[in-house]
Amino acid sequence: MVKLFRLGDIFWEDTQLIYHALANLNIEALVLDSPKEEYVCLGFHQNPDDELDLEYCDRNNIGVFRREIGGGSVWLDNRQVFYNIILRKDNPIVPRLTQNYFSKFLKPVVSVCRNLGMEAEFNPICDILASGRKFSGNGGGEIGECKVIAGGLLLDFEFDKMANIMNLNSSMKDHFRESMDNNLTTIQNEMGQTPSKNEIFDGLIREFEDILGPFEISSITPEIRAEMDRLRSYYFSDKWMHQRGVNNLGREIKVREGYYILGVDVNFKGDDHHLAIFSEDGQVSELKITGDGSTDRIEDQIELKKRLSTIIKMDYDQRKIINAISDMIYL
Amino acid sequence: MLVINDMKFPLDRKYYTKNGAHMWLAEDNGQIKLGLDAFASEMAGFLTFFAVTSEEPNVGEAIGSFESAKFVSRFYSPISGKIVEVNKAAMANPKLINDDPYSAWIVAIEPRDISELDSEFIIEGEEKVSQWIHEELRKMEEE
Repeated sequence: MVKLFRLGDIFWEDTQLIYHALANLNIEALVLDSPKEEYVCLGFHQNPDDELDLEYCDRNNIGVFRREIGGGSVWLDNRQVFYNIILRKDNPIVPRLTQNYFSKFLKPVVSVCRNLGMEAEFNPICDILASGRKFSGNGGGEIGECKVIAGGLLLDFEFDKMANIMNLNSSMKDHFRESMDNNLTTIQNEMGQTPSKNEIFDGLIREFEDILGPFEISSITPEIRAEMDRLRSYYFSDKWMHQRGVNNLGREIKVREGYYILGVDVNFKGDDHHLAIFSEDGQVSELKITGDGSTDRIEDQIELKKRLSTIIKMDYDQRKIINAISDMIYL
Repeated sequence: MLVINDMKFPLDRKYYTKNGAHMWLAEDNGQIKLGLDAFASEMAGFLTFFAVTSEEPNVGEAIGSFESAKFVSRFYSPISGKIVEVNKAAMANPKLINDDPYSAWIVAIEPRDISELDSEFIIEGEEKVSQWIHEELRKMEEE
């Protein structure tokens, strides 16, 4: 039987430690909670020095956590509700194909939002949209013998704070802020009000019961707390915070000193596209997109170009550009 | 070369099958080169990150991770030993693995005990590999 941890508002660190600990202990569970404090959470392959304005975070007592699952940097606070689904990899109800996995376990979240009166829709691979804008971000990964989804619903959102924590120059912060305005929404924006967290938790429990079966009501046992404490000392060590992989750097062509073309292949809506990113004097100056010749759907290329428009004028740093492209396409 | 559903499985190497691992192994001057097979590459889709985090894995332990579509997967070592080389080109551009998973090896391991290759989870030969992949495809269809 899958365990249910309905934790409500809890210490921010615990919102991350709980699902890592449960996965390490092979405990299949649905966790519902919300952080009392604000913090920022990085994806597994991200480096806080690259991603965040750490001085700003430090000055403003904003905690930083690097999780073991995928996706990008996110601003998290008490106006968001979190759900974590932890299931063993060998559980027959767990699809192996990532797109099927997200699709299956995010359906209940979409249903809850629709029952609240929102016109919510699942947007592959792992977003939930209303009015074409995202109000739920999700990431996943393998932790120990389990597969985990960590996601959240935005009751409301601090767009300025999200922009402020990022390691971007002021111009890019403006672009980023504008991009968030155009692409993100909140339950407050969509409904003109926010339902209570309990109403959302009740809905999530009802909907997830349909695919996970009746839950065993559970609380944090001494064994789980001990594992969370063990993980706390590890996840907040410098070794963990600054250990991350090398990302996809694309292929760079040096045309002349200070003038580069970076080639990156991406898959968007099922088709392969080649991005040519031109940079001059340290800034991205132009983006050209070509298809792989199989379909070359012009409307998809227009949408892709629009979605990636904020990389223009970005400082030319291959790793940051690739991270940004990945976020813009897959977040 | 075995081809199933447009996925290629060269028969000059072994395959590690435990828990859906889908790694290939090839002996090279006393070292074992490891990579993802075509099935893993196809399932993962566009790889955005790749990392090797272990130096001396034991058999079955995670060597590192890769990310695609906001999901972090691990890859596991079929053999104990010391990682003596990492394919930095593939790390820097994981798309190389998508393009040709058999050229884009991931790590080279100096094995501690070569007899570990005689494992039920390490297979080779057309019949066994074909049977394994067809079984994997059948499981996928049931999802």
